[in-house]
Amino acid sequence: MSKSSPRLGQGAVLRYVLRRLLSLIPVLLGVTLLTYALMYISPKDPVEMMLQAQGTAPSREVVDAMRHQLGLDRPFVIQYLDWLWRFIRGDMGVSYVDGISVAGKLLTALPNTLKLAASSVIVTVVFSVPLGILTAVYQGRPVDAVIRFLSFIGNSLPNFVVSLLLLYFFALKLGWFPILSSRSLISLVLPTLALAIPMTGKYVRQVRAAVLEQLGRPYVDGAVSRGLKTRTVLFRDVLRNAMITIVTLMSMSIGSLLGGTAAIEMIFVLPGLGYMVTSAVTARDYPVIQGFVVWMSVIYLVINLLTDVSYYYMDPRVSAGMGVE
Amino acid sequence: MMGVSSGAKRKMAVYLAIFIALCIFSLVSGRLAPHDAEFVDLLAAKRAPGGEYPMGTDWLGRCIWSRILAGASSSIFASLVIVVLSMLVGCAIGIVSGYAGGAVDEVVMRIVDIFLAFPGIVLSIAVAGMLGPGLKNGILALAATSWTQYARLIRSYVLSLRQENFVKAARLNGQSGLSILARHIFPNAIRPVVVTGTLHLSGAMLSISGLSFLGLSSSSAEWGSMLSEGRSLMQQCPWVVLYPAIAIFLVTILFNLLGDSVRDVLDPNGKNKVLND
Repeated sequence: MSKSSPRLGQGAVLRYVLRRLLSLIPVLLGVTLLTYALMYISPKDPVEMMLQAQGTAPSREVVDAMRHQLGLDRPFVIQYLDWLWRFIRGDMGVSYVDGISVAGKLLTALPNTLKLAASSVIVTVVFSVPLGILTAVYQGRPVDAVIRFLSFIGNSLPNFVVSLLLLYFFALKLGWFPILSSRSLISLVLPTLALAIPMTGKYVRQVRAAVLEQLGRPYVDGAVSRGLKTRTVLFRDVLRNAMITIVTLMSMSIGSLLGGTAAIEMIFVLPGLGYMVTSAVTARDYPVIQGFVVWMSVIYLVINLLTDVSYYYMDPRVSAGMGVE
Repeated sequence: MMGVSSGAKRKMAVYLAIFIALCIFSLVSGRLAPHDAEFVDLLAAKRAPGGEYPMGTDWLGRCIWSRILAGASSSIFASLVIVVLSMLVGCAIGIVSGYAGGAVDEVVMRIVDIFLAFPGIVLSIAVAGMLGPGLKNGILALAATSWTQYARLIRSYVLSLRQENFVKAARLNGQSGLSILARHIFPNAIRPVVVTGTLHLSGAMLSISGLSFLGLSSSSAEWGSMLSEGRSLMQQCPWVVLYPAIAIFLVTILFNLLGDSVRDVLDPNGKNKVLND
């Protein structure tokens, strides 16, 4: 990857994206196969679960008839391919528990989780980037020590502990916020903070490391000695070069929030994806778990791809790597 | 270990000592409990901390202090097992894949890609969903997802070490592949694995208590499940939630301090510094 390689045009980026999308096909096949196999080898029989959910005592004849009707008596490969074919067409089956289509369940739950994930990532970035820059610029000073200490504490707190603390002080003791979630914006404040506080702890450390690394580069000394204001260099060059770290962190956070919001959704009774899948796991509601797992992986893979493409726009040197490979 | 200040080494020694003490303590802590952790005594329910019950009792009259002590073994022990298990499996697969190369390597890495396509805790939820709740299943579910980072890490070291002259020399001397792996490659690749492992401890601790909190892992005295069960009583008797939360917090802090200090000593150039998750 030489520095002088010409910046690639839009066509090259498009070709890169297409190549990446093609390489996703075997990965997605593996994901669906693994997900389906996990549920297939599970010791619990789905037919018995369904009958129990309906309140019928599972007799041998009924179970056999139903297995045949659902096609569960066919060989594994046939069952998997059949499931996959229906999955691709958007038919993920129905929940064993309430008979609602999995697609419908996912679509109802998705907006709640998206809102929560988006707001917590935004809050995290808004707080951690200035704090990270502050600690890096004042390295070794009291400000640095205090912020690093706080970010270390934040990093050591799981989000469900933070949410219980917030709930206790701000909802139960002070009464500033509602305990349960509603549609109002204010009920989103505590869950957002519960997710954002531990993430901010992690981000501040990484932003600090990235900015320090940049500040040690010769171009910073050069710019300052040419008479540019430190602040200008900081916001024009250093922050721009540290962006890659921030974007990488954001895409990793979104990945861990797909499912990672479950505890928060449970505590604040927010009917999102995590809440849905946790109840599905407790009830052994396999179609719902399968739909959730596969779709989360799809979203995650797309986010990873978008992240890699965004590197191209942030750092021209990356584009050289896209052309070769 | 040149260039590492003796202060950093001393720090690591102190945290390591506390860590080992804590691990030993967690093995016996269940027996030190003043009461039976699962003993239900409704007459003693919801007592405030003090006297016979230093941390109070929950809604069933179970002694919180005893439950914290009993939970120490499952919470701390579980995080250790998760790290060791994923380390062993990941290293074994990564070494074989990197050393064998060719088609084996290709297949293994595609399998790793598939595992990495599941974001965060999603695969653990799926595995827990298949196995059902329980501490052992929770450990398996988390190890099943975290072995990949060790496999990729050690594979990359094996690939670069394979090109080193001392390995080539050993091969020319007629040493077998297994002996080259054991005597030359493994000792040189173990350091980054140890660093990753200690940094992984706090994550494992948070994940297993998170799974328990969701009811997907242990249901007995485990800190995460104590929090989950106690949260509806938070207003009436906050101590039911307070003490398990403090326990999780303190142990995570210790794990984080240990991880950072081990990294500072074993990897002073900071290859593991940025974006280690």
